[in-house]
Amino acid sequence: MTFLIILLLTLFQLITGFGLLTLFRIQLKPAFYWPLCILMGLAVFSIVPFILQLLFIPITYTTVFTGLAIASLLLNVQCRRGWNQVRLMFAVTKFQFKVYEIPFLATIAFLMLVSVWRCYYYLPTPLDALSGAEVLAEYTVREKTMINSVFMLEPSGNTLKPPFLTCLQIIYKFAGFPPGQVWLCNVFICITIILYHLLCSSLHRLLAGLLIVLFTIIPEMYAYTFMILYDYSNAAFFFLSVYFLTLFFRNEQNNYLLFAGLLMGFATYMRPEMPMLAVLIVPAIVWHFKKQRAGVVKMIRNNVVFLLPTALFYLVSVTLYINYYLPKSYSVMAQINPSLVNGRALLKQFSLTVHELIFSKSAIDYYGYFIFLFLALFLAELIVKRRFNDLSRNYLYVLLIVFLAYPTLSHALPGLTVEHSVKRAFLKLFPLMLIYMSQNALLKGLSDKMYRWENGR
Amino acid sequence: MARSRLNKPAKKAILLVTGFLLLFLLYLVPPHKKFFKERAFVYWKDLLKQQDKQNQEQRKTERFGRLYTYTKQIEQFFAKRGNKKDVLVLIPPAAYFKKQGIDYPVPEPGVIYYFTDLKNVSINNNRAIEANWYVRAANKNIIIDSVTSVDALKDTIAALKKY
Repeated sequence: MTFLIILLLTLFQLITGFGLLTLFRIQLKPAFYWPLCILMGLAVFSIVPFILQLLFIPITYTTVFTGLAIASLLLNVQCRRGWNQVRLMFAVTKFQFKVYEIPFLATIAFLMLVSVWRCYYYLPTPLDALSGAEVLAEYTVREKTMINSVFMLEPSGNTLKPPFLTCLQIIYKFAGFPPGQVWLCNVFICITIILYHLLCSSLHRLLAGLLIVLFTIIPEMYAYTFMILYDYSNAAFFFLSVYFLTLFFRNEQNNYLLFAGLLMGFATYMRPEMPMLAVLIVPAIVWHFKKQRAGVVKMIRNNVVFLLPTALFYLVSVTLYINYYLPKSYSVMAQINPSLVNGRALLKQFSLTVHELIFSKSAIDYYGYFIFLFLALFLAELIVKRRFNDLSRNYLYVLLIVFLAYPTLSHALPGLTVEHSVKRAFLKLFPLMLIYMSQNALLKGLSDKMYRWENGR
Repeated sequence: MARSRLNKPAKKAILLVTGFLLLFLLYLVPPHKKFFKERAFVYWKDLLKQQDKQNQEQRKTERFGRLYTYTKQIEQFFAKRGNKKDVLVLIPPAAYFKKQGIDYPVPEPGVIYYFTDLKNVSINNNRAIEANWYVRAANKNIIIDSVTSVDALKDTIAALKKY
């Protein structure tokens, strides 16, 4: 019965996401399209209870699932066109499977099975989630409002966050699940399938399989596939936003830019510091249009298209909701480091980050050797080829801004420690590193040689 | 360029063997070996044992250990009295319990509320003075007492603040 409910909810998310992708006219191969539908459906799900709360509608089983149904119906207003698109997609796509993928797919399947079980069996474990999203969700189900008796207790910063996790926990509690984080499986499984598909489209499947296993067994990354906090979901949506932005750079279709903006907006709903990263990505958009000698108006308009969803999500879920709906306020200004312009302290924070999160024993425990693999491939390409393709450059640029932004943020807001907050925030680096590796000239060269040998050319 | 004499199925077999070999070599790398031995395989063994242990209380006890069991002990006191809804209970910090020989990793009030439905405060909260019950330790046992006077409560809070 539990398995049936999980399947039905996932199907519901898929249909909802399908509607959203149809509206945005997103065309992808099936291995990317269907998992993305589920992820987008999950993102839409996470907004529905929030909208009910903003409108002061009691949050009950009936109102939540009616809200989800209405959202799904509204998004599927062009489902006929979407269905025609899907039929065409299947007509031109051949399912490919190579027997030598088995070892890697079996390993991934094993790790997924273990993660799914732990998502189902265990309560949310991080105390941040337990004293925040989970307790809020539990009392929302009982008291029919997200502004509930939990706020009468001692103030906790964990209750003063955008309600992404809370809303998903509410939905799955109403669906009858015991305390857990079952929905997180969908994020893990879908983003893994998407990343594997992207790797296979660039590299020989043997190399793609090896890389996806290396990515999945990053200890800290794997741990958050069954422990709810915001970071794994945030990393997935941030990566997807960057991916669709690079797709826009290649195909110049504005719907892809808007979709990238929407994904960044959802990422903002998960972690409110995303506007900072979104603004830092703007130079990449400006550079793209400068190369095309586009006019200033077009450049500004497209940057607004990208940034607007982020701004809206921030304004509604942070400025409006936290400051005007919740009975307790949270002031970012009060958290700011009084010695903000102390350059030495900033450098010390960078040094601490590099030491703790890259060159220490604990860094190996957190991330394995994945960062070193990336650095080795990057340096090899830099030394041997001395140039990067456009796609690689874009990913390297975003990697750089994430790497620089978080220690800076940790200096500005001392509550964001390197050992906890920056460590988790760096999960965003790994999908970007993985896809950079798929574009690495040396790996691609090896991949080409392997294909030629395999096909006897 | 000389063509390979191997046919396609043979090449796929070679690639399959290479795949297994690569995974084995990957496993030998120390951090990966640690990951599989200390996490993945342990989690798999847990999964096999947990099939028959799906009771909610078992899951919580297994996951949270003493944090959960001591917190439930406090709840059971009030549940037996039938006055859970009327209490505001003051809970000292973990350092106090440790000093008394009880390893109780006192969680945040929100977590205690989640597990027990008991409204509670820590000693640093402004509302601590409104508590009508408080938790203390004696002879390595958790004792729960009612507040008899505000002055006595103030003294208790002051004494606990050194922890």
